[in-house]
Amino acid sequence: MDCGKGGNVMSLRTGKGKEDTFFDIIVAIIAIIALIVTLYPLYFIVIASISDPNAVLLGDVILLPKGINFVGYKYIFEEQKIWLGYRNTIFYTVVGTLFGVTVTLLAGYALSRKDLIGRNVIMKIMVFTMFFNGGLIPTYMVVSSLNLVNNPLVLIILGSVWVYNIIITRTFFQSTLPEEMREAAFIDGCGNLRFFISIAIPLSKAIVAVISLFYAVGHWNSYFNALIYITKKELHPLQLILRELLIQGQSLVTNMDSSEMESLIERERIAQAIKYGVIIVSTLPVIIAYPLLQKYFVKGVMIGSIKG
Amino acid sequence: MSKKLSKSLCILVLVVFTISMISGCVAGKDPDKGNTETTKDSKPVVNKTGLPIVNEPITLKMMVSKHRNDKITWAEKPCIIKAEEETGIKFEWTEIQGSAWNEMLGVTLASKDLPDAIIGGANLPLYADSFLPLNNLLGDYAPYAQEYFNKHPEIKFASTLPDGNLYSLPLVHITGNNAPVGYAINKVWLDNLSLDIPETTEELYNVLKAFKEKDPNKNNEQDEIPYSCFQNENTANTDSPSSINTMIWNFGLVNDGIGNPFTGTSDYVMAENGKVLFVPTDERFYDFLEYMSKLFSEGLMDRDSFVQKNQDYKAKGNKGLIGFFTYGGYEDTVVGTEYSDQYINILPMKDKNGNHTIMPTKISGDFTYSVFKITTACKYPEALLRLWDYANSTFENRLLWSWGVENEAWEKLDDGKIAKITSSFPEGFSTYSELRNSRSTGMSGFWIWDEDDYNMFSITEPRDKKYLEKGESYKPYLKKDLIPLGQDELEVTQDRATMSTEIKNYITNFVAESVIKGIDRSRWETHLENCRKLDVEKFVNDYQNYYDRAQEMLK
Amino acid sequence: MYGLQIAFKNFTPAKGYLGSDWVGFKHFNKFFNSYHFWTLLKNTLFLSIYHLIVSFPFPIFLALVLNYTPFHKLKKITQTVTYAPYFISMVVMVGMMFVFFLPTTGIVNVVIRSLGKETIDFLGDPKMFRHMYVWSGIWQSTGWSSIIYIATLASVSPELHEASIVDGANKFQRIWYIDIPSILPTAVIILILNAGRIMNVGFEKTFLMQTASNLSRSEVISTYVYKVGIMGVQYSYAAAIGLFNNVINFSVLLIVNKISNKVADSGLW
Repeated sequence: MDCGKGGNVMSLRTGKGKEDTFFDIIVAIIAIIALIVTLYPLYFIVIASISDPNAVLLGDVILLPKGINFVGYKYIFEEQKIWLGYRNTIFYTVVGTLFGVTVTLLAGYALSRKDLIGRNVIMKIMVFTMFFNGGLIPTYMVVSSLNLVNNPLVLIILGSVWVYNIIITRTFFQSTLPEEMREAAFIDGCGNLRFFISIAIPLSKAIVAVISLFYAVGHWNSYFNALIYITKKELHPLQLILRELLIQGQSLVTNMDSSEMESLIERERIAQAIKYGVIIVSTLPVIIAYPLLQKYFVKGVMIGSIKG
Repeated sequence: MSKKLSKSLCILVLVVFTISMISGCVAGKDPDKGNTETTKDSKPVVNKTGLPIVNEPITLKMMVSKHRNDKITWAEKPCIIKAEEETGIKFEWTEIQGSAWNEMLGVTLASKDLPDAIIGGANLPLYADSFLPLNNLLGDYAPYAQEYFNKHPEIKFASTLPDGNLYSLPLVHITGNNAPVGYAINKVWLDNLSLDIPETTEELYNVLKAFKEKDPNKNNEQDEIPYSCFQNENTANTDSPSSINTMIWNFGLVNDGIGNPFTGTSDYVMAENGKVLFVPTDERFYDFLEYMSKLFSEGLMDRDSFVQKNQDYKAKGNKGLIGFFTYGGYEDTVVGTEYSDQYINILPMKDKNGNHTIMPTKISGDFTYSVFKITTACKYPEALLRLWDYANSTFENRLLWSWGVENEAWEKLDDGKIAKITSSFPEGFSTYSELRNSRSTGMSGFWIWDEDDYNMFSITEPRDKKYLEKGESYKPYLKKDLIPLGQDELEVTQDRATMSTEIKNYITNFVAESVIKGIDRSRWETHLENCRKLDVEKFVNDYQNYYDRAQEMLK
Repeated sequence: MYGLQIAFKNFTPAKGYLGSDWVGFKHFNKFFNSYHFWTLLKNTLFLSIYHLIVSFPFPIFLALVLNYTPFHKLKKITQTVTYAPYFISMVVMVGMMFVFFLPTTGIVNVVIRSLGKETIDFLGDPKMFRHMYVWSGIWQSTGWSSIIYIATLASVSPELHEASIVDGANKFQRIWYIDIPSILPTAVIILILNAGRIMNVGFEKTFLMQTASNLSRSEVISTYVYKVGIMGVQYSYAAAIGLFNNVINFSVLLIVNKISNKVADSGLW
């Protein structure tokens, strides 16, 4: 039986109606407040991205854009590499997320089982690596000795599994798959593998959605590894390209002369203008993707499996 | 399944661990020392003079820091193509983006898989062991460098490490002007209020007061900002010309030092009569703080001064709201092209002794000392040096390598001079900077100019003329006793970097607080005590040692 | 891990890891004895702890609110909008803060002045720094951080809720007796992991928010290391400070984990 959230069910039962209506109103108000507080600055980014940068800086842009121009966007999209960046980032994100989610799910599940040998030791080692790492140079040496420099795989493997996510997954499994369930299944003749595939995975839609989101966003936003390990421009992800764009517009007082002045001043203004446009260009796809995942958080996912 | 899984996890972790340990231990090959090899018929591989440079094709691996406006690759630059043809050397380029340069430099040098040459800025005291000393080779293989250094000993000194060796050759771009930083005031406002150009701090105060109260821009609004400045985002870099620090000139003080290219050269020290002193504990600094805090408390100084960033400052400037400011380069950088005509350059105010003090640059142009470096892995350092000499010894080549091909970025005028072509750009380039830095090595290259080269360029832009005029009017007042640019011992450099950061953090904060809240004797005493705790004494001593050594070497 | 040893050496790339000279605890001593050490430590810890404690309940609260929001459209929109700020890059985020809070032209101060009050130097006053830092962080990340809680709440068996409704529980009670206990294990783990980040006051945001006047509160260990180690001049010194940071982080994690095991009977191991 697939149930909606408690609210719908509630309306069928009267009795405690008044208290709960009061509750509903309060909750709705809080939600609306949260909405407005969060919304204004986001709205600001949109109008700032099409306003005159000086007006933005001097506080003239409040509810409406001022000095509307699309120079910022024009500059961003003239950069042909943008589309290349989108393509690359989508690739890295999709593959990297699949990889990360798979490993994380397996590891999280394994660690949630009390009968895993060396469970605590493994946990301790993993957490240790969250805190101590050798730094850029040794990491680079490892990567290059595995011949992964300038190889797209490096962006998929390096840093694609986060201990943090493994821990969260483990906690999730621990709380939603009580031992009794496993024992019950075992008694019914269900082996480890079958339990994992037929019961654990279907019940974990919510956590899969969550860690997919975490990894996907992590990949989408990353640029540092690409900066260091990928010198071929065709393989650059979107964020890296956008960052370079922003830097290009910044000025250096020396190293330039009068003939570069005009373009320099223009560039500085553009840099300010594209600052906001860049956010929209780089995050719109992700923000649109979120509502699609929402349904996994909203629907109840325990399909009548608990017995008492 | 769970047991199996646990096992595989354990093994996976162990494997990853082991890999990282092993690859960390990979020591790598020994670096090859440079040597003069011979070809099969025992002719030397590298010719001492003339072209081609090599009698047998060799390939040299070059790692370069790519200029952010460079749209093509080094291999495609006309100067490189010509060089390969004429010298017989083939190049293999590894281009690193500017933003990754520091990390990649460290990574490459630690990896033991060194290229033959590294072209880009580097902190040499730290990395010296990775590069070959060049001084003894210059006479034979790069005579132009020798000649140039004889004419410009201060440039040679600036590139030399304390052990007496030269591990790099510089980029020198003479711009003919020692005084890029200037004071500007709005002449139109002065005229509208019938005021004279101020020459003392008292007069400046009166002018600023009038700017604020008497509506010089005649729009019936009190929107004028008499004086504004901003603090560099990186508080460890106090070089910014538009910061409040430039105002210490009015009191006979300057912000000198050698620092390093990234924290800037301003270290709050100053040389006077052969002694190095710490500026923020000098009495004159107290006067400076007192004066600025008076300006601030009376609203004559932008309230945002200690909070705003570069872009906020310029937004105000671009609206023509600022009456008086300090800047570097051209006024346009602050007020934009629309308002730059309203501003004129003035001298800093006279100090107590009636003198104007202006801090010049030590080299009249752009200078990066550590650009061209040959690594210890290079088999043919002589060839590389000869390449350097080839690129720099004739004016034609210098022009080709620094500005590009004729009739693209520059053209020859009838009177024999060179002029830049800024009106139109070929396909694919949208700014002059892109054109120049793509079709030539531009500001990422390793060419050196002197004043004669600079004088070959004709000055036509009114903006450039104004710049030159400023340079002329400032010349008599440029401070002569400066701490020369140069390098110090590694440990001293590191100590200095740490102390400098701490000192600058403290001083920047102290100045802000003193100006906003005011300064009095007891706070000053606390400040002097704090400076003692910061070990300013050692900081100044290190500088004094360096300064003395520099004076010796440059005698 | 191998690279950790440069904290105890004078590392130069040419000499490499094995060849660089051993100096023991020299770098650590240098750091501990430096003028700013205690200020840095204090600033870092206060900022971290303030942020940890204050920001902890918000995502949980938001998750509960979203869970019980009556109108489906409202819920969906609020959820999407509140999660969006997370994606704003730090440069833009701080840039916006400056636009809104600048003393002369910032809209917030314009409003304050129109109400007859004095301009507040949000960006320059050191005392305001921590509040600005933490609350802007809360604004930016609450939506995102609530996702994990929303997912956990969604996995609570609806039968539990139905059963409690039959027993006469109202929504407040359901939250207290069902939702919160179901979130508790996750919340505890997240708290522990965040405690383990206590020394990691992020470099980028702090650096961008520093102004000349708020340095006494805004200079933290990560910004100090950046400025001191610029251009890699001091690999070893920076590595030593980094190691110090990590050791503290790890120790705090161990302590908090032990406490939570004793108190809430749940922890990392």
